[in-house]
Amino acid sequence: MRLKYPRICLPNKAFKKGGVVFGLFQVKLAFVLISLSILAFLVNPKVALGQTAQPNIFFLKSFYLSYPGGYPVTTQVKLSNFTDPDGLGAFIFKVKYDPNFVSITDDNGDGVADSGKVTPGVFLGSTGKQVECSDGFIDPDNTDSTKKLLTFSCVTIGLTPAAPTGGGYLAYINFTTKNRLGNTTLTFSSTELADNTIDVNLVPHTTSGFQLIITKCGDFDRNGSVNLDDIFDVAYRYGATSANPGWNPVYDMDGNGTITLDDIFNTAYQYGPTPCAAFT
Amino acid sequence: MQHLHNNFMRKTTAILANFRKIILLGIAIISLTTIIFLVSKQNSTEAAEIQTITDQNADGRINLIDARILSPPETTSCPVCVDVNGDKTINQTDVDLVQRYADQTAMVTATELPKPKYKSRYDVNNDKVVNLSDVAIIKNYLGQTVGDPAFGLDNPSELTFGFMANDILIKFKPEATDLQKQSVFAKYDLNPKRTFQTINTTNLTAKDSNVEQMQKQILKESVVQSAQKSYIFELLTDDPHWAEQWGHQRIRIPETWFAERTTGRTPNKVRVAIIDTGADYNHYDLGANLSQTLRRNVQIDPVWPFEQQDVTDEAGHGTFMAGIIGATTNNNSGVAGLNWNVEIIPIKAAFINVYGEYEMPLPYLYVAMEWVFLNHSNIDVLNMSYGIPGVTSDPNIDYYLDALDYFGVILIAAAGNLGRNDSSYPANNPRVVSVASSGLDDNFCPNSSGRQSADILAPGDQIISTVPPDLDLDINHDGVEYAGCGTSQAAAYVSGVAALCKAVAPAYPLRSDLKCNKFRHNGYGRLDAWATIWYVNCKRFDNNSSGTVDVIDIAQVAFRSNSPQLYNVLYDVYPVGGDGKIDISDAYVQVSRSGIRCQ
Repeated sequence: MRLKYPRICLPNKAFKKGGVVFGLFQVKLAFVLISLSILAFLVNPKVALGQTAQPNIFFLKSFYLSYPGGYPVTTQVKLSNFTDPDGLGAFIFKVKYDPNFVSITDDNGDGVADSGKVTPGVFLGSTGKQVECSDGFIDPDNTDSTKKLLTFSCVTIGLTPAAPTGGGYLAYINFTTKNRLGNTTLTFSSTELADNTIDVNLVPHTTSGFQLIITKCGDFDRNGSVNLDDIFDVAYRYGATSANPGWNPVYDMDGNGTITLDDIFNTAYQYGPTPCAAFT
Repeated sequence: MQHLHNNFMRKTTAILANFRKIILLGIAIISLTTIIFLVSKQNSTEAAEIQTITDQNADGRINLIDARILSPPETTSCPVCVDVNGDKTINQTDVDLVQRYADQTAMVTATELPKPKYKSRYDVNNDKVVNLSDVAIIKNYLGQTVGDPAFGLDNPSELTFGFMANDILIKFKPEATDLQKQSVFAKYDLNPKRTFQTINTTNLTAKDSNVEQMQKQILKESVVQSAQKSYIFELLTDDPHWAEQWGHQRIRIPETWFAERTTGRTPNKVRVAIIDTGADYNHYDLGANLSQTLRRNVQIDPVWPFEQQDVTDEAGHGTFMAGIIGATTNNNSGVAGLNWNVEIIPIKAAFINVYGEYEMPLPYLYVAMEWVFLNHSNIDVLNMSYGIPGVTSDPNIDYYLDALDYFGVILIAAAGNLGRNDSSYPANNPRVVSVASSGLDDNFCPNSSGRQSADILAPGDQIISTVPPDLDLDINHDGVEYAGCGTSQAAAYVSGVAALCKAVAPAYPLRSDLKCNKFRHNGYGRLDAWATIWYVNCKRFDNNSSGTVDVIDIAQVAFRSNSPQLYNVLYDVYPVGGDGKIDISDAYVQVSRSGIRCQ
C-alpha cells in the first residue's frame, strides 16, 4: 500500500530511487504548492489587517524571518487610516518582546537604545511640522518579567502647520537576533495617538503585532539561494529525530530535535536568493 | 416641773430632728450643687471641643495655643492639646519631647549658653515656659488618642503645627481662566494676596479665621484642583545647628525637601550602606535612622553572629558620614541629615592599628563588599568614603562593584584628599560616582583629589555632623563637630542626595537619566539636589495624574512650544523651576519621560 504522505527515514536510497516515484512527485507537488502560497503571502504582506475603519498601528509585515546570532531584523511601524480632521499630533507606542529571541542594541546598558536603532518615520512630519522624538527606551515589563518593552514617542511642536492625516511610517526599529531558534510574537503592549488640538484628545485605534521566525539557514547546498532542492532536502527528512542514525541537525531548522512541517515551512519561507550561508 | 421637763425634751428633740434635717438638707444641697457644677463643667469642656476654633489670641495663627485657651488641658479633657508630635496618640514620645526640651532649657540656664527658641507647642499650659509642669499634664493623658473631629476641624491634629488664620491657598486646574478664578474669589469673598506662577496657586485672605468649612466648599468648584490652609512649617528644621549647615542650603536641600515632598513621609525607606568605622547607635541625633536589623562588623568571625552586630565607632568617621546622610531632622537637637527618613546600614571595616591610626585592610574590605553583595536586595546606595590613590583596579572589588551596579545599587566614593588630578580607587572605577570636595566658593578644596577626573563636586569643607559624644572635644560636648575639607564628607553628601533621588524616582527606572547615579552638574559641577531630583520626580511630568507620562502629557507641552499665548507654568519643565517659556527644550525633556509609570 502506498502512503499518500510517506514517512521518510534517511538514509533510504531504495525509497528515494525505487518504485515510489509517483509518491515522491506528490510530495514535491504538495510542497511546491505550499511554498507558492507562502511566497504569495510574503509578496503581498499588506495585510488587510490594516484595512479597518479605525486607524491601525501595525508592522509592515505580519511576520519576519531571520537567523540566530546577531542578525538584524529591520521592522517598520506604520499607521493607516488616520482620518481625524485635526490630524495626528503625537504618538507613543510600546513594543513587547522576548529578550531571549531578540534585543535592541544598548552597548552601555543604560536602558536607551543605541543611536540609529530606533528612528522616526516620515509620516508625523510630512506636513512640515517640526517633530521631536524620544530615544528608544528599553524598560522592564512589570507585568511579565520574561519580556521587555521598547517605548518610543514623537510629538509635533506647536499647533501649526496642520498635522498629517491618512497613513505612513511612524518609526523604524532594528532588532538583533539572539542565539535562540524558534518563533516569537512581538506585540504592541500599549499605544496612544493624540490629535493636534490644545485639548489633546486620544484617538481610538487598533494594533497588530508580528511574528518573528528565527531559523537556521535554508541554503543547504550553499549556492546563494534557497530553492526547491533545499526544501526537498528537509522534506525528505520529515519525521526524523535526533535519535535516528544519520541525523543531521542542519535540517532541524527550529532546533527542536525533530524534522517537522515547521522545518519545511521555515525553509520554504527563505525561498529565493539569500546570503545566509555566509554567516550561519 | 416634770411637765416642763417633758415639754423641754420634746422641743429639744424636735429641734434636733429638724437640725438633722437641716444638716441633711445642707449636704444634699452641697452635693447637688457639686454635681451640677461638675456636670456643667463637663458640658463646658465638651462645648469647648465641639465649637469651631478661631484665632483666640489674635496672633494670626490657629494652633494649639488657641485650643488650650478654649480647653485648658490641665482642667478639661483635651487630648489634642497635649499631642505635641501630632501623631494622634499620647504616649511616652510626647512626654520625652517636652521633657528633653525642659532639660535643655535647664542646662542652658546653668551654663549660660544661648537659650533655645521658646517652643509654644511644648508649652502645654500656655504659661510661656516649658518645664516639668507641662510634662506632668501630658502624663495624665498617656494612652489616650485624639478623636476626630474636634474644634470644628476634621483633623484636629492640624493644630499641632498650626495654620495661618484668615488665609487659604487655592490651586486651579490648568484650564482655569482668569475670569473663572475671579469668579471663585468673589463668590467666597476672598482677596488675593499673591500668586505662585510655578505651581498655579493663589494665596488669599478670607473673612473667616478658620477656613475649614470654606475650604470644603471651594473644593467643589469645577475649576479648582486643590484648596488648603496655609500650614505653618517650622523653620526648615529646628535642629540648632541648621544655620551652620551651609552645604545643605548650597545644594538646595530645603527646596528639595518641600517641593519634592521628601520630608520624612516616604512610605518605604531608602537604604544606604556605609562601609566605614561603624556608627554610634547611642547617639541622640542618629539612632532613629540607623538600621535595627542590618549592620556588620567585618572583623568578627561569622560564628559569632551577635558580636558581628557590634559596630561601635571608636573613630567617629562613620558616625560623621551617617549624620550627613541621615541625622534625625527636625528633632530640636543636633544637626539635620539630608534625609528625614532613611535606613542607614553601617558596616564596620576600619580598625585602629598599633600606631593609633584607623585603616581598612583589603581583606576586611572584601568581607564588607561580599556582605553588601549578599544583601544587595536591601541596599539602594553604597557610600564608600575611603580610597587608595594610584590604584585603578582590584579584580575582586571590581567584581563586587560590577555586580552591585548590575543590581541597581548606586555606588558613591570619595575621590581622595591628596590634591591629585586623578581619583582614588574605588572612586575611579567607571561604575562608581567619584566625588571631589568643594568649599564655600563652589570650587575644589585645595586638598581634594579628582581635580580632572571626579564626576561631581559636593560640599566637603567646614561640614558639621554627628560624632560620638565621647569623641566630641569642643566646648559644647553636644555630639556634633566640624570637620575640615574632605572628600569623605562630599561623598556622603552625594550619597544622601542619591537616597533622596531614589525616594522620588519612578518604579523600575532603567533609563540612564532616571537611575539616580548620574548627577547633573551645575556651575562648577557642584551637586544640586533640587536639579537632580527634579528631573526624576515622575509625578511632575504626569500632569493629568494618569499614573503614566502618557501622550497627553507630552503633547500638552509640545503643542505649547513657541506659543506665548498658550504659556502655562505647569508645562514649563525646563530648566529647573522654569524659564518663562515653552520651547523644544521643554518638549524634549517631557518626551524623554514618555511611557514612564509613576508610583
